Amino acid sequence: MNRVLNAQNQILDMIARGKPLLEILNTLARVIEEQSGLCLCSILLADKEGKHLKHGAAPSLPEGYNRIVEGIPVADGAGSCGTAAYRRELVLSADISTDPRWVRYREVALKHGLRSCWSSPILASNGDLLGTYAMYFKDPEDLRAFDRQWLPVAAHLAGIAIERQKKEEDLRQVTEKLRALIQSAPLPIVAMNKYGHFQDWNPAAENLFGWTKEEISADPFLFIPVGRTSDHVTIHEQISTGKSISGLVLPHNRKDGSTIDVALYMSPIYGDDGETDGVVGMCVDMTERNRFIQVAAHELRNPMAGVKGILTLLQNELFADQLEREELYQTMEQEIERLSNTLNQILEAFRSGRGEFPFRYEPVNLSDVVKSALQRFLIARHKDRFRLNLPSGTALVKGDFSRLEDVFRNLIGNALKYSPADTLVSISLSLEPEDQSVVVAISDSGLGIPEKEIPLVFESFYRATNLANRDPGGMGLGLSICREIIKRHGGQIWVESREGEGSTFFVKLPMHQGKE
Amino acid sequence: MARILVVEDEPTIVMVLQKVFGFAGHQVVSASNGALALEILHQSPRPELLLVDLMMPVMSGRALIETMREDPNLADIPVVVLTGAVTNVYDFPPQESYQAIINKPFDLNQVLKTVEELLKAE
Repeated sequence: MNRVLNAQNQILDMIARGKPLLEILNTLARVIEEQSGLCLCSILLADKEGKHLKHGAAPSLPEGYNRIVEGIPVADGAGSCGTAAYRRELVLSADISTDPRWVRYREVALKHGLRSCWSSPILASNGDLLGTYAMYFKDPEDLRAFDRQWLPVAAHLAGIAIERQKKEEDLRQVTEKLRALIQSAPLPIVAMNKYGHFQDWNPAAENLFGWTKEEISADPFLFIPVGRTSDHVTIHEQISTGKSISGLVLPHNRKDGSTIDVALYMSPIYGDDGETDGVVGMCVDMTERNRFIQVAAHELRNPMAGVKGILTLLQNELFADQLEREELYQTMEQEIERLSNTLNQILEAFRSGRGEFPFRYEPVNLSDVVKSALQRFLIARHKDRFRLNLPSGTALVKGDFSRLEDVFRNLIGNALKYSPADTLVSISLSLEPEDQSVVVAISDSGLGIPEKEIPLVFESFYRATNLANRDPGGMGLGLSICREIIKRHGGQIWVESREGEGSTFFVKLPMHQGKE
Repeated sequence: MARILVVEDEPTIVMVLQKVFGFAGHQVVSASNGALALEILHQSPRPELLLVDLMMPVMSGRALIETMREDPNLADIPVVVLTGAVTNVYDFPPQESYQAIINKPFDLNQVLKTVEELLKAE
């Protein structure tokens, strides 16, 4: 009995240390063989479907025999092992030369001097078939000489080892899937431990905030605006008592210095001790939705202000002039018409689920659009960096002013961000009468884009690799949205760049043919 | 009589304000964005008071007000902000940079009263 315990401890120790499965099974087979002095062990592993048995460990059986046994079916009559696996019970073949279950394998077994076989199924704790543990003997009589307590012990130990390895493999696969999902998710996903260090910070989060995981881990307060620390402390306290946060909107800093409203959806993660160990969750950028609501309110209140003002005028006896009253009534009617159109657009936007207004195409002077986009950069830090060539004449295109402004704002922002502060950014607009188009070019003397990456810059989540250590934030989603906006205007956007010399982004839009 | 500059890109609102202030005996000039307003501000006679919308193309109300406050020639002109919505806080100029704020849709009598009080205080 002591020998059984020793063998058992040796194997359990290997399992606990996480040794490779095949090494454990080989050791198990050898230990049993040593104890018996007579038997030859074979451990076969069931395939995923539980239909066939594959070689696991059989250190003392002849190679030629193992090859024949490889892949035998789990079926009645498929030798001792196939039958044991099929019936889920111990199968004793006292004499292989006469046992009917050995018909198919008899010849090769006898050729290698194997005369009797005792096989036990290896079952998982939930009853699933994991494999078989077999003991072969060279003499039919040897079987009885060997203490039969060894077989269930060996099969049980093999079961623990196989099941453990399967669970680790399952866990590895789940972890791998989860990691891939988090990495590729278009939503910013973050996880933080109880000490405030970020464990997960996916590319979408990096894209939204501009900070890399390393930067934000080094200083988790980076994205908390001045005066807002107490809000985050409150969240932390709430999470640590096991409560979730759902849709709380807080302002956050981005690396480019701007502030965005982010809705937080956070849940606690529990440790082994049942205590809160950290937090995991999503950050939803509210800027777009807020902007939608803001624009919607603006679009409704302006005509309302007009209507209300006209009503006041009409109530006033001073406006007795019939012609003037007539005009006021007409204007009021137009404003009410506008209100109703705007309302329909808002409803349409909600119905389509896009949360945005349809593009409003009207003749716009592209030169005005570029100037408007420039406006926010004309602050002390940047205002001397521009070299402008925007002809005073009109460059009419049919487009949505604010959407186009977003595109140029993005391109100008990138040009400033990715070039040294003492270099110029030039912006020029030119008319190309031969193909009836207007082209805007924005050039910087920055790092440029490696040639093989040029086709990728307009893809979502592209980030310049040669910036890895300098400023990886920001560029990602912006350019893919720019391309989408320009495409919807029937135009083209492209970049010419040389690494080390700078980049020029071009936007080409069809000229508007009609009159303004 | 005072010279009032209305900076607003809504023609109907400009029209209504023009009529009301006209009746009250004031002279009204208008600009449809901040940049055009700055051009008028640099001409003489200088406007004595501004009514400024916040959301406008080319140059926003915030940018206009901040530019004015940095310019010693324009820093002392009172400004009434007209706001069209629960606007994003980042679109608002600093509180000390304007004298009054009126939400749209506004009550014309209130606009008139606010403007008269500010002019009297000058």
